[in-house]
Amino acid sequence: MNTSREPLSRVLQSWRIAPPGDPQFRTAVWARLQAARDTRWAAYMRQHAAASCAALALAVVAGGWLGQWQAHRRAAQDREMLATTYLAEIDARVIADNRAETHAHH
Amino acid sequence: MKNLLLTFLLVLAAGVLAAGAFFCWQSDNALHAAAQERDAMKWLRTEFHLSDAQFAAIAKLHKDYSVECADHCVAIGSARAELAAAEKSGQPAATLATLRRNVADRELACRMAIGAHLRKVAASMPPGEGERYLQLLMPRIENYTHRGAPTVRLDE
Repeated sequence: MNTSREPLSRVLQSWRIAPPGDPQFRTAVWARLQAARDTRWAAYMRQHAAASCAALALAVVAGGWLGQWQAHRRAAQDREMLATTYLAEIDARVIADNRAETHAHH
Repeated sequence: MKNLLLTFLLVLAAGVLAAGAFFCWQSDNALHAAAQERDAMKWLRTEFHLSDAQFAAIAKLHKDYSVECADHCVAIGSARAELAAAEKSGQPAATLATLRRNVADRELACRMAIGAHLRKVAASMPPGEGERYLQLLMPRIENYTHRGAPTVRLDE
């Protein structure tokens, strides 16, 4: 408790603070901000753990199914094309067709 | 909002990664390589798991059959050309019917020959693969439909 009679405003006016300079101050502030941001996302994930895990599982299953479907579709297209090419080499009727088409183009 | 976006990106990345992994895992690279090279014999070898000896035997069967195939090709080509010329010159319906029958007979002879050839090839394949080969190719032989205009060149 202040017992002095000097007015408070005068005391405050004469008060000077000279803090020591800290060259790491800015870096430290950014590091703390980053840590806070990381914590926020981690906290968010923990808060929505069930929904996040379900979404992740769904994405993996859907992605896997899509990848497998694409691979099978490409194999079917390749097989179809190769079977047609194979028969075009040994089926005289197809060879005759191809020759007729070639002559028609010429 | 930023957290939701970050989570969404993570989920999306997981989905894309899973799609890529399953595509690579399930892809038949040998089949795709054969398709890119349009190499039917390479396909035959990988698709029906042929050994070197089986592949050589089948290659020889194809080579031997190519002579017969060429004969059929000439016969069908000339029969179609004859029919086309007759249709163009307005021959009587009876003549056209005979020529159409001639084309059909030659195509039937070709179909029988290629069917016999495929059965020979199938017999040279590993057990089970021959049946699969016939199941894949015989319907195409049976369901063949002539496409394109018939040639009018008799010398080919």
